[in-house]
Amino acid sequence: MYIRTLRPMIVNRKNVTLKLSEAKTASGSLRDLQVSVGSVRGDHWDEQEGPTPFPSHTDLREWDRTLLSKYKPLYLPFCDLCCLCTYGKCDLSGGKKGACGIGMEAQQSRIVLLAACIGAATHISHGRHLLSHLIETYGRRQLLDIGGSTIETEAPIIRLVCGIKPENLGDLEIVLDYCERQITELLAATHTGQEGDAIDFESKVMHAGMLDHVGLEVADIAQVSAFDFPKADPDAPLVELGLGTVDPTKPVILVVGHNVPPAIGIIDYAREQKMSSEIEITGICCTAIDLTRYSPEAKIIGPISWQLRYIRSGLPDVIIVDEQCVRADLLAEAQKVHAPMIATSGMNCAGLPDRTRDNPDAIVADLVSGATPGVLILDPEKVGEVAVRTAVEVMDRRKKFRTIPTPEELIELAKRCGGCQECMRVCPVGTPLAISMQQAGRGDPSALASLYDTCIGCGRCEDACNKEIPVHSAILSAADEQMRSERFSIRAGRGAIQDIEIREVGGPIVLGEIPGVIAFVGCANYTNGVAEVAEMAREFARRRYIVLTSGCSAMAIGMYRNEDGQTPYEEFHGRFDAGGIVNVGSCVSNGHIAGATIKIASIFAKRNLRGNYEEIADYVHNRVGAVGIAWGAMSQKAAAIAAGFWRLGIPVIVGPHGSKYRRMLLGRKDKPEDWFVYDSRTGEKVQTGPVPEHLFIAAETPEEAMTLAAKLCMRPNDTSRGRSMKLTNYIDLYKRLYHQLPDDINLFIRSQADIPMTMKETILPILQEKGYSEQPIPNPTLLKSQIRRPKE
Amino acid sequence: MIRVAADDAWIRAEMGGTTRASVISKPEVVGALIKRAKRPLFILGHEIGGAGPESEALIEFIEGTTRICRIPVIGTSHSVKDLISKGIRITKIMGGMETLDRLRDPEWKGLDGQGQYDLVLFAGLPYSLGWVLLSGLRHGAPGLKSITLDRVYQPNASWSFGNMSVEPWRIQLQAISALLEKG
Repeated sequence: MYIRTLRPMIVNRKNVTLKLSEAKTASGSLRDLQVSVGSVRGDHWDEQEGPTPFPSHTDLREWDRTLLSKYKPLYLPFCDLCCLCTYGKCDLSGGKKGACGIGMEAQQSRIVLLAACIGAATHISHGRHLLSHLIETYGRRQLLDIGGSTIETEAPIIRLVCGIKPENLGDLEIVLDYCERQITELLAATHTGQEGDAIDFESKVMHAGMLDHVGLEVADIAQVSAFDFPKADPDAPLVELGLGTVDPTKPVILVVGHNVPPAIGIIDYAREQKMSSEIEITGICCTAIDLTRYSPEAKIIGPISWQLRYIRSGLPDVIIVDEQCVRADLLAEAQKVHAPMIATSGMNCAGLPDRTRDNPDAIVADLVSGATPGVLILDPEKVGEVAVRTAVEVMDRRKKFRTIPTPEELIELAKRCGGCQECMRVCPVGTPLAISMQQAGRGDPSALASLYDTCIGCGRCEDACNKEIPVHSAILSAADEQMRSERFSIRAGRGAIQDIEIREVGGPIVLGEIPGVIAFVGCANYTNGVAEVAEMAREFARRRYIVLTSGCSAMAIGMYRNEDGQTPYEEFHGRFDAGGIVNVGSCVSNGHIAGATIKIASIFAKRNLRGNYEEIADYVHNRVGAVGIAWGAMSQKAAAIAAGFWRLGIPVIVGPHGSKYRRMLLGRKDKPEDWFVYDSRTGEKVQTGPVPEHLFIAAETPEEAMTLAAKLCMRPNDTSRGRSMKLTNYIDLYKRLYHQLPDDINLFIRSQADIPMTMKETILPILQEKGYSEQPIPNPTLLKSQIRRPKE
Repeated sequence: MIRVAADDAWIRAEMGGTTRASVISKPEVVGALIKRAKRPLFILGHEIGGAGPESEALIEFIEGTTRICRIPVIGTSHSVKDLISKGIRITKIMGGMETLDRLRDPEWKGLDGQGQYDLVLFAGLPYSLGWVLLSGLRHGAPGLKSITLDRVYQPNASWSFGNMSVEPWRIQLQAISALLEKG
């Protein structure tokens, strides 16, 4: 039988679905044939399926190109060369092409795609490990429960992208099958001799981002359901944060990474043995966040940049690493403080012997005696037992041995400094290390101590020092008192946003009356310490924006106290409502941030989600005033998360180091022809002004980021009241930070009703001078398919 | 005193490309480039607004140069308020990325509607951000010359000072000002 398919055939491995849009055989033809065996597709979901369930990267290519025609890539090459194949190295500068024919722009997009694929693959693989573990423990039929009766739309991203409504853990396997296949295809596109067009690479970047969001959602809804994390709880408990919260008289376990089952194994074992109050279980990075979602007694030390300082403090007796953002030299660091290390993930074996099948007694004995500096154990429950027993036994032996110099030792070490400035030359933050070290050598360590807040803890300075001064440890010594007194709080990750919350604020957000939703996400590669993130978050919460956060940024926000001694989580509520600071959880909880914008389209605007990506992204882009700020974005995962937001049309701002992602997506407000939408009621083309102006931009300072964020919250759909409120915030912030009015106010005013009431006297003369374009407020769409009555 | 090669990128890992900036060996070079330029432009980052001898030296230079040569200034940050208070006229406030996006567009009409620029003088940007912006300019606007005025070597510029300590660098800046003053 000859079968010709005109659209890709979708076959899922486990719950089998066969879909043929059109098939022709010798004896006839078939249309829209769909056969499902044990599948979740539509079993309990009567919503009509949209045009792109389980989309391939070409299915949404037109949408990507629509966005990319408005937000054009600006390339910032990190290297003139391509060295990915043996044709090269090829010099791509000055318009030259590589031996394979690729040009500089396509090469940059290709590298961005590689980064996005690495990031998405990491989250998807994280989801796969987690899901496999949970299915092994709880079974495929374990029901998903994200928030009980408060959540009906349990998986908005999966519904939107895959067109299925998952009900149990087993259903999520199908979703990951799809993601894994797609990521493989995207990665294949980066091979020499495949894609060569920069914009098509960019479209694939967006596809990788969308898949990343699917992977995030899988991972978090699985763990929320199985581990009974807070379920969409705005009043999730406050938990302790900071190195000063650790009781040094107890055995201390440190977990570092992102994938929480081994850490949960530790908590469970301690509970079973009734030892919870006798040991300290602490964490760094997202494992720590997820640990406190499971047990509010666990403690978060800080973001990824706290790894060296915490280990060198000597407090942790055993170090457990899982995957992602774990320093590659942690085993060496652990050995310096005589702390055994346990690797727990195939992603990061650390060169250690696999003792998964060994008796725990033997493993503990070897770790405590120092017969081995560490072990690899791939069984989370066994990790729990070995970690707790080892911590208890090793504590007396190592006596909290630390590698931070005493004040006297510091001065002697600092006297070695010859002021060559090599340390400053390698410092990503450019801190004045040499001059501070020399001052310490003269007996005054205060300047060195002041660097503690801005240091990102990379340790490059130590490798650069030709006098063998342990520069990072010297900073820690100078700031020892500050480090030991870090005591803050953070609201445990709440998970998803409730449907009722979306119902209540959907209208005010879409109409612009809540001035925006601003999400602080991403890593801790800051140029000026964690405080900037907290200050930005507080500024927007005070202005009645909805502030969302996750991961290391959520910790950074918590590491701050106001004049009344409150942390931002004590100062602001945790509801998805104006004036809240809402910690959704770890990196994988970022899916709930994207999910909230999608749920606005679904729950508030009653749009169908099912396999209906373009329409929903068009809705979010034109109506939901959301912006992401990844102030310390460092990783490929952060790149993938950002790319997922771009495909939804949500702008992302990064800090100065984010420019190293080597490509921005910028609009041009000086080109009015770029800024139009269709009015979906009439099909008429309507000028909108530059809203939102950019899709991806690096800001130099927090001041630039804040004014940009306020501006990027504007959308074509804003009512006059909403636009006026958004303009009030933009203008007010700009005036306060720049001491003058912004020069583009006229571009955002569509009628005099948009002018903020209290600013009329100031703004009207500007409009008279510059003019403005009187425009109706459209029912905006970028998609011709959304026009209800096309204009003749 | 910094004892490093003048043409090593300031941050060790920041390798240059296949071409790299010429080191400004004497003030006459910058003086001649500015005098020869038909459409020069200053781009000033936020670090110029700080206190200390470096900011003072740069502000003195920029104030003199903009006054003598009537060079327009883009301030990329909130530091413009410090510059204005020190007598520097800021033509436009625009973020670094937005500015670069326009400089790489041959159709851009400039701040005055008279067309694209032919020489851009950078100062006061954080090193790594400046590195990336200059790379974008080198690749996106190959015909546009760039000079960095900070005292660290930026390989992606057309012309850059080498890695210098403050005093010799300040003397160089003053010498350039004197040359421009002479006309």
